[in-house]
Parts: sequence; structure tokens; C-alpha cells
Amino acid sequence: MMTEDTDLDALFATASANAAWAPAKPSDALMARILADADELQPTSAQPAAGVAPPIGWFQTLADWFGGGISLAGMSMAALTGLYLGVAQPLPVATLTELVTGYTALDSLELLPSTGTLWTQE
Amino acid sequence: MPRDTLADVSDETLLVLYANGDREASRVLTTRLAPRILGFAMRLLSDRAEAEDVTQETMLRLWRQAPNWRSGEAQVSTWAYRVATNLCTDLRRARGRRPGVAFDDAPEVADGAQGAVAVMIQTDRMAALQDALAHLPDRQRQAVVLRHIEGLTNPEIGQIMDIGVEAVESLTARGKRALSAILAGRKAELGYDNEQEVET
Repeated sequence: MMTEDTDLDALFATASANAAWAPAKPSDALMARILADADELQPTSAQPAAGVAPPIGWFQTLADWFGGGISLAGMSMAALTGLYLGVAQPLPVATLTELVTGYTALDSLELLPSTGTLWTQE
Repeated sequence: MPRDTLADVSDETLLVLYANGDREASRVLTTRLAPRILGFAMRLLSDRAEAEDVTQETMLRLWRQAPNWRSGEAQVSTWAYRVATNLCTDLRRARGRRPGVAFDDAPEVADGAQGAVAVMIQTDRMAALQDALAHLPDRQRQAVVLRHIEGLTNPEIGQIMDIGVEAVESLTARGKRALSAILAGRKAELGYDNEQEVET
């Protein structure tokens, strides 16, 4: 054989040294292509999951009907206040009613039997 | 992050930084890996244009892999060599040919402080080695280049070629024997006879 192992090893050593010290130089065009790929494929930290819309709940749907969550909260508070005034009939409200309508007492309509009656029936 | 700060950062960390949006990380990683992959592909393909395509495709796959990179499973460079090896194999199969090396495609020789004659001799020897490598079967050539020129360990080559260490040793041994046989008739042409005469 032509080359002893030492000759071949010397060739390898030279080639290896060249690979380490004078590696193949990528052309500017190749570097530009690689970096363009890198920029195009680079993930962004604020990238949202593609094509996934957040689920809309029933409360959000209801709030949307009434113009948003704040409007819905205001309407709920007004409804609860009206219910309280109707049921409790506090003195200032009764006085005002008497002044406006002339009635001395607000008639009450008993839609349900009193709870006392319900208890005594058991 | 500034390039100077990234100079000592590992390849894997650079890949994570890239996946997190650091553009400079991709530039540093490209500067490190692209020359190695290009040189490796040139030795396997003996064609610069094809080697450049392989290098670009390897890096492209690395960028795609970055968000899903599993830390500690493999070195980035080993992963890149593996991708490049497979691409070169596919390319050679697709072309159905053995490359004839063109002198201009032979890897460059570092001139350093050598004289012009010495540089010419070394260049001729590298061209002869490249020509001989081109005549080896694909797997032998890959194993020999990875072991004796790229300087990787047998376990690393096993990972890249998806074979065991013993198979790597067998491939490199057969590759070296084949190279010796191919180069047998060129000893005088490459100046080895003269060197022995001078030495004796």
C-alpha cells in the first residue's frame, strides 16, 4: 500500500487542522439566507396561540346584552333596592306615599299565605 | 443581548435565547455552526453549491426545532451534523452519482507561516485526500470524516449515524484501509517519497 498509516494519519491531521483553523467560509449570500430564515422562523414572546378564541360564558353574553358588566351591576342593584323598598316599606317611603297619594297607609297585597300559616300547617 | 456577551454562551443556551426572541443569538450560533456544517458537507459532497444548500437546510431545521428543543438530550452541533449527514445522503442518492472533486472545491489550506511551496504541497495533498474520500462508500466516508477530520468521538458519531460504537469502529477501519489503497499510487506525486529520502 502506498501510504503507511502514518502518512494517512498525517493527511488527516492536516485536514483536521485546516478544518479547525481555516474552516470553510460561508459566503455572505449564504449567511444572509440563513439569517433571513432565522428571522422569519423566530418565535415572538407575545405570540398568541394561532386560531384559538377564548370561550365566551353566559355571564359575558348577558352583560353584553345590557351594555357591559358595569351596566348589568347597576341594574341589578336598582332591582334589589326596589324589591327591598316594596317589601320592607320603611317609614320615610310610607310618609312620602301618603303625601303624594293621600292614602294614610299603603295597601298591601298578600300574594302568599304568611309564613306563620305555613309553619302551623305542618 | 450584545454579541460580546454571547461569545462564551453554550450552543444550547444560544438556541434557547433564539427561541425566546433574541435575534443576536441566531447570528452567533450561525457564525459558529455554519462553517463547520459547510466544511463537513463539502467533504461529503465535493460540491460547494450543494454543500451550501445542505448548510442552509440544516440551519433552517435547527430554527424550526428551537421552540421544541429538549435540553440535555443531544448537543446542538451533534444534532446539526446528523441532519447534515442525512441531507447529504439523500442528495447523493437523488443524484445517483459519485462526485468527482474539482480542485476549486477542495477545502482550503491554512497558509500560516508556511512557504509557498509547502502550501502548494499541502493543497495537493488535501485535494488528493478529498478525491480519495469521494470514492469511499457513503457510510465509510461519513464515519472517516467525522472521526478523523471533524474530530468527533465514536459515541458522538454513533449518535449522528444512528449506529453502535463497534459499527463506527468497523466503518472507520475499513474506510482507512480503502483510502490507503486508493492513495497507493500517488505517494510520489504527493511528495512522500521525497520526504522519506530527506529524512534518511
